[in-house]
Amino acid sequence: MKTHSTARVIGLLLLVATLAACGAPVAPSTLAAPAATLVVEQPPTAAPVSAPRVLKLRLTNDVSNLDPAFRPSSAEGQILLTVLEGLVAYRPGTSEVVNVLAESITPSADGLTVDFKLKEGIQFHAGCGELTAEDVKFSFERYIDPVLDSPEIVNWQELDRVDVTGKYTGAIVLKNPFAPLWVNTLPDIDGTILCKKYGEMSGPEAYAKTPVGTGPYEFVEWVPDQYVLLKPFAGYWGPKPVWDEIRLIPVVDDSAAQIALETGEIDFAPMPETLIGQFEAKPGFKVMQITPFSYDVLLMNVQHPKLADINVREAIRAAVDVPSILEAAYGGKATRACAILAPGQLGYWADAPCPARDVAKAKEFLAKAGLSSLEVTLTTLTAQQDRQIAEMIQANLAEAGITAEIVAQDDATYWDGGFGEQGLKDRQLTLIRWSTTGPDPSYNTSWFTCDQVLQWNWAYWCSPAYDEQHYGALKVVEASAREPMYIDLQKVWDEAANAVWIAHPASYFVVRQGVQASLTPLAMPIPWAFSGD
Amino acid sequence: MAVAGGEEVRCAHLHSATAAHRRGTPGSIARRAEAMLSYLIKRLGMTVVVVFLSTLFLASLVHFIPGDPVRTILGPRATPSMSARVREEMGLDKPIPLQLLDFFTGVLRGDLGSDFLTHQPVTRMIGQALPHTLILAVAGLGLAILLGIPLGIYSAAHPNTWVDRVTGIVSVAFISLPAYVAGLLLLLCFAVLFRLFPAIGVGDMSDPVDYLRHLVLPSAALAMLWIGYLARLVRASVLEVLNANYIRTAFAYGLSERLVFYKYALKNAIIPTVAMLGIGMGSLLGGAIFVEVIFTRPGLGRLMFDAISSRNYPVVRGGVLVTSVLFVLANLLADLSYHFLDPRIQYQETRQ
Repeated sequence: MKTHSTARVIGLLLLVATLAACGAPVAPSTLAAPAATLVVEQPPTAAPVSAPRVLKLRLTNDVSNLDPAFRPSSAEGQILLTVLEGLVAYRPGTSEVVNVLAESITPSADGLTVDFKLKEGIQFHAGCGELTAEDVKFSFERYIDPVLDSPEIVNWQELDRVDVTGKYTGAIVLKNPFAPLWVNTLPDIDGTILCKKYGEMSGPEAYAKTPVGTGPYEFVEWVPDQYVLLKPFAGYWGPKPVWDEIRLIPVVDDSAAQIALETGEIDFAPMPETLIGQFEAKPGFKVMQITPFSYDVLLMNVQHPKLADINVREAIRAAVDVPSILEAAYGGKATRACAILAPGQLGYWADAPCPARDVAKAKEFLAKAGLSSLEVTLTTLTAQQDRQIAEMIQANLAEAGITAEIVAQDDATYWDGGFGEQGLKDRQLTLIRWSTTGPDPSYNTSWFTCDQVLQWNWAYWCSPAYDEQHYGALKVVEASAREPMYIDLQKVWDEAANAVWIAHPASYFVVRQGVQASLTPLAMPIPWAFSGD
Repeated sequence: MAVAGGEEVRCAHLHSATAAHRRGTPGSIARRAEAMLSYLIKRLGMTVVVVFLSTLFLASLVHFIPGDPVRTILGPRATPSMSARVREEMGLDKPIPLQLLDFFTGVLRGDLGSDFLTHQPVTRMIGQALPHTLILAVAGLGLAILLGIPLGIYSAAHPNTWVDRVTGIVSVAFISLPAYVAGLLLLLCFAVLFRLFPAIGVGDMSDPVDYLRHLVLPSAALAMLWIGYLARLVRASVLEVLNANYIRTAFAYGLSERLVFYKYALKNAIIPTVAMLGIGMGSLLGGAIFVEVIFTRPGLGRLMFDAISSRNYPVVRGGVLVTSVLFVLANLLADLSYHFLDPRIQYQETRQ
């Protein structure tokens, strides 16, 4: 059968497709934006002609609620840190707190009052008018408003009220001294100022879709699953913004993000450790490694019949080879964790015991518990690194006569599964990787108090002594007085033998050459502070 | 048509006989129209039932997956009282059958509910996402038809030759390649290595060229499996039909290979393929999820994936409903097309 015409048709189609593909070179994903991303240096004799500078950042998930009182993830946090400003903030890339909107800010000696004076003439976006002390009052008091019922109330839990004493002056009044105020609250997202008038005009739910602040960039639009667009605020009071546009693009898949970096469609991306190696040797990219105060830990349900005996828990602690896990699962790049708080954090317990693996000792502990073998479940997430850590723990425990069945769960099942009586009944060993969102040590320690049992305390352990130190340290403002309290608290925890501390993991980011990235001490990107060559 | 004079006469004879058969008498035309209408009404009724039952089943299923949407919405700082309040606001404190009843009564009013996370109407979210998925699925299907059918025809025309064997290997390779893997390979090759196409996003919808350039790789990833599958299916169908008596008769009349092949053989051989295309549309909609994630494209698949992950029940329900409707309608269109391809296929259950 002569089908030359069919072959010709196919060939023609392929030719057309190839010609179409060989058209203009691929520009970074335009999304209706100009192609170039960097200013091209011109000879000094020529009139400066620069292409628009567009910064494209990866978000690991799409945004859903841009109200700072209800922000669910760091994706929203990055946008809010760029669009909103607070009285103070962390100087980008450092732990130093500097004045931003406040001309002056002074805490009282008893720690119950913070007097502030605003800089004058600072304008809000969207024609919302000038920043006044009323906006500060509105922005802070909404966190404790029982009608709004914000989950972020914890960082304002001791706020009584904000007094307005003048157009630009006021005082934050606390019920009790609150140490995290200067570490977690004021310099971070919970301390940012919203335009009160905007909510009055558009309704309280308006902030979820459009944050209106005083930042160098204003929110322009959010196209779901595509991008969030920020543009320079023409009326900004501070230095001229560097970028003509900032686009934050949700790229959920890590492989897709890797490819988008290589094609130039994004300039900066958080990346998992497993993919970092591909960029470390590649020209045109820089890898940033930051160790925030997060922790990875194997928690043991002390109320479960199989783990109630402390000897069993000691056996598990003795059996796990943490250094090997750090080498294999973390590429040797993570800091070993031996207690709740991380190096550099207030209350870090430098002398915390970091037990070496001892299988014989593990078997002895097991024998003391009257057991020669034991079967437990080990719950973890399905992510690759989590499974790898779990499998190594499983292998370690097996040598000591403990059989661990790995139960890998998807995110929603895992995070919900530890709650309530069902969690208490089901969970035995749980591998948990906890990212902190506040540098204050109270954020790390808050999850293991008695009132968190059946909530987030997946050791299901309750110690009045621990609670006393945790809640007491919140009210002590002096760092030198707080530090021993946190160390004592960690000692109480350690004596209970309810966990195997594994690592304070690093966060990794890949950035294209020509872009200087800036992050908070907790490894959250600050888009407005990025600069280009 | 450039054929010999005698062949033209025989061709015209066959044409007129077929055309007369097709046209029929006025009475038979009216009966056929009535039959088609009756069939259509019955099928639309079945469509409603199928959509309702499938949506009910799938929307119920998600409730049995562990995971609390309230915790996802409020984050780790939520207190039990906050969670209880939000649960009540969302109607999650009601029994599941009641939640589903509320959903279906809302559907009758055109209201698919509101997204748990953003409080946007689900109708609007699906309305924004669906066009991208439909465009992707149609482009994928179009590419599959454009390449798969000619490939199958070419193989059938050269059976047991090296051409046939090579296309067979290529077809099976394509069938074995999941859309996710195909997508990554295409990205690495055409986006990273050759820099021919963009890697992520949908581009600017107001710029058709830009939008199409962003569509090429995703639709190719989606189409690959179906290119291979259609090629094998068409090849087998054509080879089977070529052995039929009426084809031998046509050859005995002296008609040309091209005429017999494309006009008589292919028309019958294509019917199983058309049937598969209806199912293929559903498969493409499902495969679109992976492609949308890999290529960071908005779409119904990605919307559903995120909604299931975060237990965003209203979006899951709405998405399942819309997907069911699309799938069933695609199959209905495929079924309706049979009669046009082969008039012997009647719409009534019994043959006349």
